[in-house]
Amino acid sequence: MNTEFDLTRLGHFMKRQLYMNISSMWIAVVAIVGVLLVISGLVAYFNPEAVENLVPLYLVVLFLGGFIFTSKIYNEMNSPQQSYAFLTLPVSTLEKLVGAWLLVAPVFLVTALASVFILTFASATVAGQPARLPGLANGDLLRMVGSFMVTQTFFFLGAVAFRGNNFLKTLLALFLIAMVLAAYTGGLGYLLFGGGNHHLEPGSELKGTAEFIFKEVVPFLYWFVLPLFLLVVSYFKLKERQV
Amino acid sequence: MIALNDIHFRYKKKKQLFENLNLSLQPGFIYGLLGKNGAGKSSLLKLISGLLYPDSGECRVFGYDASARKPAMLQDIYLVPEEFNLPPISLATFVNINSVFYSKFSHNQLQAYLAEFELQEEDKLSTLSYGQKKKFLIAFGLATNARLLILDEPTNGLDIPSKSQFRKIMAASLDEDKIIVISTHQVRDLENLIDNIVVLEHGNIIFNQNIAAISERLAFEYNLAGIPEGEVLYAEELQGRKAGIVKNLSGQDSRVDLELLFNGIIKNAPVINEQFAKLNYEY
Repeated sequence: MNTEFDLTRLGHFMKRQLYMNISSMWIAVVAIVGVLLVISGLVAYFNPEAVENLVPLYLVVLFLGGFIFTSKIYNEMNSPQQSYAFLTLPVSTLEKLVGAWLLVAPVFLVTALASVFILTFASATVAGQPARLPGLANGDLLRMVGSFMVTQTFFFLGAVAFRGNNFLKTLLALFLIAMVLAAYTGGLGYLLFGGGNHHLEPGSELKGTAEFIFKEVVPFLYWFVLPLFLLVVSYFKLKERQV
Repeated sequence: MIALNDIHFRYKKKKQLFENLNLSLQPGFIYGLLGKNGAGKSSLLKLISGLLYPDSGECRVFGYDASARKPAMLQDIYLVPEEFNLPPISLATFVNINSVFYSKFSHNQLQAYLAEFELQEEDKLSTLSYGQKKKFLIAFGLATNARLLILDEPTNGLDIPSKSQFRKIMAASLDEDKIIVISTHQVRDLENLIDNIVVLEHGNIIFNQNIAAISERLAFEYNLAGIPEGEVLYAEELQGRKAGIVKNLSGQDSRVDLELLFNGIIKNAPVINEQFAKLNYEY
């Protein structure tokens, strides 16, 4: 067996994590699906034309549920009376990271999207408008899934870094980071351009640079560098974790 | 073998707990880790199992750095903590999802231990009492056949029959490859079980001796009347009489009273240790 990464052990770890959280997961899933079913049924019955508008609601619930699920994935480690079991489990740090991430990202997404599809199908059928069903499968969905995968890594890091109330603490941390970034960029803009009116002339060097930064660099950083960076930080936080 | 070399450790914003701590634990023995509240027993066990990292120094467990928490090391360690919380699943499910990580896990042994402790695999962990949960964890830990078994206050919460079952099982489970470390306040529960006594006080190891050496060098008397004062190492009131520890001058092994010994060490460790100064016990 490879001492750092073994696929069999990874599988056992994922199975264990699912079993350890199965009761709370089932309660959450049943409650959310139940509420959405009732809402979908009511909308489909009383306002069949609006059934298409249910998809954004499902996706908001999917995002929120995913963030909360991600924040709770290391609950055992964050519980003072259970952390010993998680930390002394003969599984490497890399496997603990990869196993947990696979559960909260791909496994969760596949399950949640399948649920959204079933709900959409059910509500469209009840409304007698199956033609509305393809509304789910448009290009925006892929972008939303990608966005979820990126933003979810913040909550993944929060699940490792904080020792309780991980979801709320991560939200607070994100809010603070956003404030600091806004203040920094605002301050930088003020320093560069002062209070005067500046117009970026077409073809000017500054405009070209700004376009390159915002169209090429920032998306690359957002889609690829940021999530990887957050996962790497999560790995080291997990490695350094003590009781 | 477990070796702690020059360990320094402190909790954040608290005073130094361990300073230049050195300890070596050999296979084939049951170690009794004794000490008052806050002496550092649980912290020491956590350092050994990689749950805490030393500020400096190294803790090596079977050749591995404990703080690296390598799976190869962790599958040879099982820790039963004093306080724990188990998931609301059945014993069978717990065994099913956790035993796979321990390559030497024996289901037959587990069945035998569970039968001894009168536990059923179909039971749900959430319906068990604290003592039953503890017995289950001890049974699981033994069945992993980990070379290092760490038990923090294992007899807390156990009823009287369970304590004797515990002693019986522990004594039977030891082999030449295993190291069992038992930390406890309840020293009487460990009598006739442990091979070595390690006493911690304010983060320092103030006593570390083999039971055979103790039995050879010290005698435990429950009436000190008539014993010359020069031979008395420690004395305390016991039901109107004076009981205590005296020098064993007879040359015959005495029965070790762990409670008296612990009290004597805490009261005046240098005097007790002096009796072992010229002793070089070979394992």
